[in-house]
Amino acid sequence: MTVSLFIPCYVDQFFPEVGVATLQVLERLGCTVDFDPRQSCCGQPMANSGAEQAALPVYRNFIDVFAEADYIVCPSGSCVHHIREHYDILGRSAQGDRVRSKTYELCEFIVDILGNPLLEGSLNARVGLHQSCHGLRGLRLASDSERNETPFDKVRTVLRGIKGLTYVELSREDECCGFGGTFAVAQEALSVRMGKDRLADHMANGANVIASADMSCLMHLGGLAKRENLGIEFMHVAQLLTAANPTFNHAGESRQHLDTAV
Amino acid sequence: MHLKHPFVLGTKAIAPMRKKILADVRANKPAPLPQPQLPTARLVELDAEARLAENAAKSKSKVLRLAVDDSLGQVISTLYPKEQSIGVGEEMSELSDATTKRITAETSVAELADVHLAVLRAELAVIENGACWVSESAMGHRGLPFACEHLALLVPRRQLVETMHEAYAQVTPNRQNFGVFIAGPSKTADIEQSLVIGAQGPRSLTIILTE
Amino acid sequence: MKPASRIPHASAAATFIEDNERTSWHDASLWHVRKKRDASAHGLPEWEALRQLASDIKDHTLSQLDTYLEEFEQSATANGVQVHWAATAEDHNRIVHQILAQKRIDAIVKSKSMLTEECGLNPYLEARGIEVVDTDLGERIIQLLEQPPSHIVMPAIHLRKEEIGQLFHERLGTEAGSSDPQYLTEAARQHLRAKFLEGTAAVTGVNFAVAETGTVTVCTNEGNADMGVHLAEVQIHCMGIEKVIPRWEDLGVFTRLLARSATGQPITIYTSHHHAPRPGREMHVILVDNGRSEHLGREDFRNALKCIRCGACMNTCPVYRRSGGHSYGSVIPGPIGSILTPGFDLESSHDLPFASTLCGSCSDVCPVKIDIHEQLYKWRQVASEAGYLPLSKRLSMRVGSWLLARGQRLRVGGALARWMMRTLPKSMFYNSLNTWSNSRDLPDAPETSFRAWYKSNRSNA
Repeated sequence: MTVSLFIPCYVDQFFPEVGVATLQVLERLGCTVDFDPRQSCCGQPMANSGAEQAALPVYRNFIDVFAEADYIVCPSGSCVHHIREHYDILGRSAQGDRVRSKTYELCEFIVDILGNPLLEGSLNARVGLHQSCHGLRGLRLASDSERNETPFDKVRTVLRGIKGLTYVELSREDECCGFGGTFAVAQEALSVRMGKDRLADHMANGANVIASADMSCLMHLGGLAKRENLGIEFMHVAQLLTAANPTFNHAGESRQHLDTAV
Repeated sequence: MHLKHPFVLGTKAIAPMRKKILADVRANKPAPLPQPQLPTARLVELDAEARLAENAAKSKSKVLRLAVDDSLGQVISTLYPKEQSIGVGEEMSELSDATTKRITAETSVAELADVHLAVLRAELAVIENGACWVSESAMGHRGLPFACEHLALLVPRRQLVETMHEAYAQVTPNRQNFGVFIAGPSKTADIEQSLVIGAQGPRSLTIILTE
Repeated sequence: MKPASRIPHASAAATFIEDNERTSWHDASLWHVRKKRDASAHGLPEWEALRQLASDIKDHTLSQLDTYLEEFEQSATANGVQVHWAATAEDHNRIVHQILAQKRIDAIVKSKSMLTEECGLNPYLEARGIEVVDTDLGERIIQLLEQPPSHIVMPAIHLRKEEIGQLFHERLGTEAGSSDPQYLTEAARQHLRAKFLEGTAAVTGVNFAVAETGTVTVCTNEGNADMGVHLAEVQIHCMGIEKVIPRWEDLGVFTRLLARSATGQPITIYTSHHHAPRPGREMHVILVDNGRSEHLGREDFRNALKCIRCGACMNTCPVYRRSGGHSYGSVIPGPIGSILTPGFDLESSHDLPFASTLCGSCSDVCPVKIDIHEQLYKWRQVASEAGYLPLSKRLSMRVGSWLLARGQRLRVGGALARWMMRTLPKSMFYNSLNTWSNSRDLPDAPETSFRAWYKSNRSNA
């Protein structure tokens, strides 16, 4: 099975280790993974600001780049939700519809398409799992606290093979972290307050790692935590998987060695 | 039935507004969407009275059983020993003495405000929420269930229904009358979310299940 | 009623948040109500099916709204009710005033009605010498304070009991320093009871108007609407045209959802069904358009008309809870307010759709399944196309869009940005011009991007 990676623009530039971990996990699961360098961004930052029309060239680039892909997998619920739900302004086209329907977030891809294999490992961590809103209520990666439905959670399902990983119980299990894209600066006071409240919940309940399937939330919470010297670690779900299993870190590909790779 | 002549604004002024509003709605409404099928009525399940009492308690109502050989008058005076003025909305042979007042549509507001305990017949009670349907014919005066200090509702125990679906199916609206579901004593939490019972209307509700 | 000039939500929210403790208290109060809703919703196995049913009934009704309005008018008129049609808020106010003026009524009691708030009924009547007493406890409190409601169901949720105690001491003669809710409510009870017993005219809102039977359904916990109506000579019920529902049996669906969504209780204490006036008295119903028929024509936004005014969206909204209803500057605040108000007056509310992270919680608690967070996203596009994005924003969007339309540009631009972050002094990026840096560290700027790593380590090129 060939999987085409779509790495969110800010992950590509600022959190490349998340991209590496994602690739490693997919390869471990038997996929042939490619990365087309023509890819850029999903266009969400512009669209959420109201400039959907301005984002059209970005949307078209995505559709063009991935026109031939069998599966497009992305370690971000936020980007995938945007592509699947908001690209309809491009108008219907066989190619566009196809590409959008083949675009998956990492956890849902592992659970729904790859047959939910067990990814074993061990990692002692008290994890506060942050369900990103776009992943949770947008892509329905898990049941949310609002609806009366049979509980399910594709993120925890992907992580179920990691021994030593315990989840802290939060007082508000799925409240928004306050990032919200440009909201983070346009409504700074609210964004910071919401982020600090989330961090306080995780800290009060003993989390030493805050994990998520979305780096945007972690970038925001991480930025706040670093400023306050909270000493808490932030890891993407893919990183939890690779950290839990030393065989992932073959020569030249570990997180520590990333910057010296040629 | 007292129909007033359309007042000062006049049909001349109203008619164009009505016409415009309806025309605008017609022009803008979406394509027709179907009316959904409502769920079929549920039969009453086990432990009806116990469940009613549990749910009624959430709204701070009390539920009691009046057995065949219990006297309503005695139960009332045990529950409300201090209440001197009892108001009823219709003939109630079980409660007829000097202190019981028959309230009617002609009763003055002042007399109404003086009623300490109103004892009214309810047609049914809803298990899921403790609400009792009281129709105007049982009230005498529409304001009685609200103006009294305490309220007792007599509900035939075989007239319990599971949910509001069954309640609305059973109650036929009397289009000349007022009717109300009453689920508890009047309450508010408008001051810092602190629950206060007896906000504007009755300070207590007792549901008495009769044979 | 339009606010003359609004403080943008972002500024109002920032001011609200400055009081850290008060924000925590406000947030916790509303979250508590959300949790009560959850307990109720999770206690009904058929909850999601009920929401779908309510949504479908409303969708159906809106698609035949004209027919149902006519049917309601016919049914109500046959019962002896006088039905009026008001195209605008001004028309509504005029109609109410003339009903009162005809009977020389100079004082009324009014129970909760967001519609009358929307139309600005109180100031209209007061300017014409008619005393209006809002009888819902929360509404009476804010009326005495001369403030608008901050929440559509709990209008005084933003006030501490000490503040209410002080108000009642000044206006109702309660003991100074007393803030016991029981004591204060009792004082309000006696004060309002006197008003009810004067019994001239009562105005109420309408929760549901049944076309089939002409029933006006009013739901309260206090019983104040009924205290007013049944002791009055004239009863007036004011409603937006979207409040009509087809059949008597449909009430079963909505009465099971409304209170559970609003406060978590299984039903309001009183669910009153008004059909006809008391003998010798008058009953009026005013059907108000005021922009609703126009909104009905907006394909992307008409769903907002399904709203049954439960307030669940406000209770769950992390933004509303931390900024308070007044920061929206609109009659109806919170998520539903942010999708209704722009249809009414985009100029004064174009920033409201941005007062959100689009988290979607509102849509998942809405009892009639309004796609609130999707509408917020769409209103942003409308606001932007109407020219409400500031120039700096529009420019940065164009630049961003160009940069991000090609992998090559991202590669070069991103490498440059990272180089600058690693090389230039920190103060270039940590300063007041970079809002992000006020409270947050920027991410580290790695030497190698993912795409560079992939090229070195994986690609065969």
